[in-house]
Amino acid sequence: MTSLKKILVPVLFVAGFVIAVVFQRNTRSTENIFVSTLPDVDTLEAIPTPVIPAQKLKTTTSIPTPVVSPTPVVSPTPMMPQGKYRDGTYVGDAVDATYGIVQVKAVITDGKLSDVVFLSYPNDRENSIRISTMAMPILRQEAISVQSEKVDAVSGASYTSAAFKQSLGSALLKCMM
Amino acid sequence: MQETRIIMGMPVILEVVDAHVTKEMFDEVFAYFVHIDETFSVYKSTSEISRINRGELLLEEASEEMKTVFALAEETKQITQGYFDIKKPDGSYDPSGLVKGWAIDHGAQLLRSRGLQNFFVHIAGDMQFSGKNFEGNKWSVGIQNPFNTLQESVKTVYLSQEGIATSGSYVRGDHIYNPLDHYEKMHEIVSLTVIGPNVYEADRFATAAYAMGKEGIHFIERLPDFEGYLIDANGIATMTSGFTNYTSASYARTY
Repeated sequence: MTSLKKILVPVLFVAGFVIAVVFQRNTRSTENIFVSTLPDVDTLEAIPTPVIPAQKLKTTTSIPTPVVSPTPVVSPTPMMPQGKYRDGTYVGDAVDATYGIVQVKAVITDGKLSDVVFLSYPNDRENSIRISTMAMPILRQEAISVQSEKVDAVSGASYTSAAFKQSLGSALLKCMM
Repeated sequence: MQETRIIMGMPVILEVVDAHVTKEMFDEVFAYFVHIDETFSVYKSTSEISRINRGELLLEEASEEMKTVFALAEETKQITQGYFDIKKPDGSYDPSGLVKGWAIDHGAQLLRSRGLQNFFVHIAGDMQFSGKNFEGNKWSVGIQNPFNTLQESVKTVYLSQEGIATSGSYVRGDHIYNPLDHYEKMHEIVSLTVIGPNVYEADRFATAAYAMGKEGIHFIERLPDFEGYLIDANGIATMTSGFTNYTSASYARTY
């Protein structure tokens, strides 16, 4: 009986751990997408930023390590590159996340990830909106409607567009021989 | 007293409530804008910026105004992580995205230096406010409907010392060039209005945030003292968390 217990306890620990890891991976999909973009951060030439060197990976998962573990345990999947980052702004690749394209920009301050900016995130399906709002601050939205109220002035860009077209038109006329 | 003149191909509107305003004060401001146009217009072959772009004049030899604008452009490029850039794909410089707000701000300072307190300076949809309107209330400002070229507004805000600027494209397919991503679809957003402590700041951040696409409103959200109202191609507006403070005439903001 005791020998059976000796076998069962570690087996249950390991099984529980594996389930926890799988569950963790499935529920942290957005984080995985972000991580997958990190190794390619230096691909945009426009940004004069340092290349993140190949770094050792470590786990950031919060799952506790089994205390009793006589057999080798499935090690958790690496989640984030470890080590000190060089300060700067890094733009990741645009990644197809099946529910839409995700592209982020990472801002490193004092060697640490200080901000993640979503340059692109899925927003065109109900499911995607739910996923997106988990990471983005939720801002109020409304459908616009024409106001009848009299105002002192109107702010808009059409003036500029009109001026731009006018100017471009005149420039094109000058080009014509 | 109100007067509109067409300068730089755009309507320039001065409106002053204070009784001691004179025609000379208006003339001084209009003359300043003509000077700005003659210095910074890339469409005028005789302008200083055109001479720089043709390589006839080095920046070191340029006027103090030109050096200031280039320094401000560089600073703005840094703050906006490269989304604001006066250097065009062909290597030439076009500082007009910065100069308009900067010049409106200077025009307002000229009026203040003449002791005027209640006025606005308006160039092509961007404006700087001061004090109260003719009724003694805050200035009421409409955000233009981006889906037509009528002067019809879809939102009203009330301002007293702030600047407001709108960036956008009113024709689907038109877009502001995004220096960081040539492939980004800019037409998803049709207009982005920014309210800030002054029109220079509002204008440069509106331009940069517009180039960021849908993320732009979040960029404005993270900027202290700035609020934004973004309208997408479906006619849905997204506003920053403090924006509704400006939709009430009784709100008093201190910077």
